[in-house]
Amino acid sequence: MASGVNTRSRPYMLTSSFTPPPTGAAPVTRPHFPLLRSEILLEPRYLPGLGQVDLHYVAYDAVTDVELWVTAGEGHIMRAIQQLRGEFGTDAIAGFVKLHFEFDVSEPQITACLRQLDALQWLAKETPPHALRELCSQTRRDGNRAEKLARLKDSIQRMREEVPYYRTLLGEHGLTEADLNNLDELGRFPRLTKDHLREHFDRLHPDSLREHKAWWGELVWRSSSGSTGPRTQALAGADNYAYTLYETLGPLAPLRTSRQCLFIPPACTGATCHMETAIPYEKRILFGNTLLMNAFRNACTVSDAVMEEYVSEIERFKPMGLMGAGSYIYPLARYLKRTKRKLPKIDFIHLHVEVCSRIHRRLLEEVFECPVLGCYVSSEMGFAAVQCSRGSYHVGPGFHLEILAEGKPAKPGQMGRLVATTLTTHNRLTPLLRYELGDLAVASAEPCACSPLGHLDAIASIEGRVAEVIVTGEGNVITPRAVDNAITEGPWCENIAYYNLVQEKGGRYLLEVVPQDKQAGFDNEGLIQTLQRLLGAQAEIEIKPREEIMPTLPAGRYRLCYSKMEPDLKAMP
Amino acid sequence: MMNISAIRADFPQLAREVVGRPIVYFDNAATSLKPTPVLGAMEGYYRTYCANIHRGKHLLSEEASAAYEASRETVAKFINAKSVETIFVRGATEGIGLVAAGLSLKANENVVGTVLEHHSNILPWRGYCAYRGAPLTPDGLPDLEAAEALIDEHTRAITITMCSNVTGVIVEVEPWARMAHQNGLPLLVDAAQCGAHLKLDVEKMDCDFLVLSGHKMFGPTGSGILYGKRERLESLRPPTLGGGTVNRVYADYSFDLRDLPWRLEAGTPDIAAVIGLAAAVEYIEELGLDQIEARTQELSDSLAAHLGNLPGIQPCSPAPGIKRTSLVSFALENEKLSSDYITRLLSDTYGIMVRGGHHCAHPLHEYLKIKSGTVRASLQFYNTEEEIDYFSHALSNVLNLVAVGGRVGI
Repeated sequence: MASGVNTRSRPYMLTSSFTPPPTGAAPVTRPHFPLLRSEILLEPRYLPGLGQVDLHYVAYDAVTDVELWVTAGEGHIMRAIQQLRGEFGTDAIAGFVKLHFEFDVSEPQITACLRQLDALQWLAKETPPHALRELCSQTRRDGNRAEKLARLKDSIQRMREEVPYYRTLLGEHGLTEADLNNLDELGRFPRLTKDHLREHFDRLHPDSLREHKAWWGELVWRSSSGSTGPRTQALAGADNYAYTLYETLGPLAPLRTSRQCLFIPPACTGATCHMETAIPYEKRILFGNTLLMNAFRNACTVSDAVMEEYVSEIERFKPMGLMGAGSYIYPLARYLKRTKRKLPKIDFIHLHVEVCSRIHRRLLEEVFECPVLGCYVSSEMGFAAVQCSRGSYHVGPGFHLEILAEGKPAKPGQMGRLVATTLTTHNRLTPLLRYELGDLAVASAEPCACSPLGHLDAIASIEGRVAEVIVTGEGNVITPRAVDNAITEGPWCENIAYYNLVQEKGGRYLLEVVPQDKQAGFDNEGLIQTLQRLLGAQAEIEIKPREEIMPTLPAGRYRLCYSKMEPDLKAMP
Repeated sequence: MMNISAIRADFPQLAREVVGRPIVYFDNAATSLKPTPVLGAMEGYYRTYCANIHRGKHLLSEEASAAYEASRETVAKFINAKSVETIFVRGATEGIGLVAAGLSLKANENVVGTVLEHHSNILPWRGYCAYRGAPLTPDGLPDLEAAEALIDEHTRAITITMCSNVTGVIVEVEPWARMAHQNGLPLLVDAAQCGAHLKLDVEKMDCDFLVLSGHKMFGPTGSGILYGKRERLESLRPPTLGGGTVNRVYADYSFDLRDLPWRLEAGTPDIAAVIGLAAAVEYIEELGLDQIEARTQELSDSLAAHLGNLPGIQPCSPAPGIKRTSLVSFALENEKLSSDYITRLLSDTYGIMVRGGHHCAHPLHEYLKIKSGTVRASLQFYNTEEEIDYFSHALSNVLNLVAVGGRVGI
């Protein structure tokens, strides 16, 4: 039987998770074979293997929406169950004989496969589909959390034993991994601020870093921009970025594809500033599969010549996807729409760096005709979460993200500050324990029922940087996401290319707007009324058309809103 | 003997904390910190007698004009020049640019300099003509004979930095002046790194032009001096004409140029910066340049001794015994590592401000075969031995950390 490589649905690796009965074990009790549910579709696929073409099957369950790649042997078992139906389902002996002699599948494999199928709820039961789906999702979520707890305990043990900073800190608090019996108990552990990360950077790496340099291979020094607070740096394995991208986006196959163009602001980090000098095409190809696009400082006034160069490079590179800041991909989309140019088919767009306005997202969807999904990425960690088609952000298996409101876990639907802990071996160079990211998020009110990511922890929405929050006169906290939702809910947004809402020192508001069409006006009244519903009925709002809005955050980033008033810390979550 | 504690109290920025401790400011070659008297002088202008100069007869304008011209006298005396020979500019770069433009250089002509120069003493010339850079002697000094050999019939000027902003080597100007004059050429001295460290005497140097940046000598940004011998300045074609540069504009739009120095100071100058610069000069004189030089030399020797023991770095310094200013640059033996990153680590983890990169001296780095830039620590009299110890300890930690290698990026 060919060795199966389950490349698409990592949590359920049928073959690799099989544990054949040990030699000399008690004989397996042959089960009564029930029917494989009729919703399971089997499709043979031939893939290049080691010196030969291997037969695999893709099994798809229409009820739970789970798709699996299984080996030929497993496929034979499943096909036999489906084809033989009554005979096979009621006569175990006949089934075994059929499989064993006709398909040459060994007895332990048959038993193990059936157990796995049963665990997946794929064998017919008297259960309604929706209950089956929820049961399946819950089982997967429980599995994910159990796995995450184990990895978290392992990570804390490594931090405590190998990293000087944590050794001291956890020692002072008298905490070890044994104090963690469930994920909620992580709240007992101290948090790491950006100031801590800066101040203790040289003690935040494992002792073995210096001793086993060859083991670590090539390292990468990464710097954050400082847009969410004090700028920081992190040391990571050279493949950290690519690996977290792969791992977090893995279940989204084929959207986790490995060939993309990266659009980031001109000085995304201290280490990747590539604005001052246009770097040749060949030197901008990272990891062999990511083309770093030459940046521009001002997205409002970028020239057609730059866009034409983008088009040329994309045609040459033939990416499957585009990634980066929506505000920096947006000018390309406008250019393509205006000039009626067509690019090679783009399969997906992943947005990060900023809270992307729906104005930009809508145009990207329209022009590129592909899924446009958000990612939560930080320079210190890599790709931590990805948005599903239902809008939730799902946390990758290499991370544990908490949402804390006033220091406690946010209730479902409540907003709080994002705190991250890194779990994977790929983040062991600068491990982060309860790291305060400086961003706000809303806890999910209920588990996300999406299919490929539903088992992963879900966050309802990423709301933006704490530093950009506006606190109204009534003490309401208004996030960049909330501002964008309001501004993009009416028809007036059709003539907005970029905007920036500023809370002035006197509590008045200025909405600067770069129109798409200078000749067309705005429905100022409608826009003001909508914003007043958000900011308070008494809010004085002035709208000013602008030729440009400059990216004024560190590292040339845009922001949707900010306040010039002293931050009201009491109002903050 | 300097009272360092009292002096440090004059510089408010030294009290600033990063990562929970006071900053260590070792980037004085880029710009020095500003003492309270300088801040006070500028604030005084803006608060009490803010008015435009020279073109008004009201009280405030007279006060501002008097303060502006008094500043010129203060600064001129500081370099042993006459007021009429002292032009206020925005900095050394603008001063060199003014000379380059004023000489009406042609494309087939050239200026002879050295590989030591800052971009600001290369590019203003390159905007008009060719530039020829003399190499260094094994001691790290610019090679005078090699420079003379580069002179031909198309050479219009000689230029030399008095102190390298990368190696810190101090160049004796007089031999260069003699060589230039023997060849019938003017000598321009870039003294940007010297104003806060060395006594400058333009008469003794016998240079034809000299430029200084005020912000590197405790003055405000946007302030600087172009000194020129009177006849040399008078021979320059003013590159910018406008208000203040003429005595009269006639009905046919012809005009009479005003005398020096005003003919070379078009438009409203940065009055507050000039007043601040004079306050900075007075501050230096009050401390005494002899005292400053002795103090910074002492610190410089200590810094060099500390760095000499650290593995993984290659100091870019002149040979022992060669006079140098209080800065040390070093390259990293691991060329994959960016000097920028070391700088960032020192800043964000230890609160130590040094500078990384090529320091606007690409040709020198190429000449020294340094690819990834250098890290530069440049000291002033307000720095302390304790800070040098702390820097040495921090740098050792950082070098130990980066010794594992790696690249910089995403």
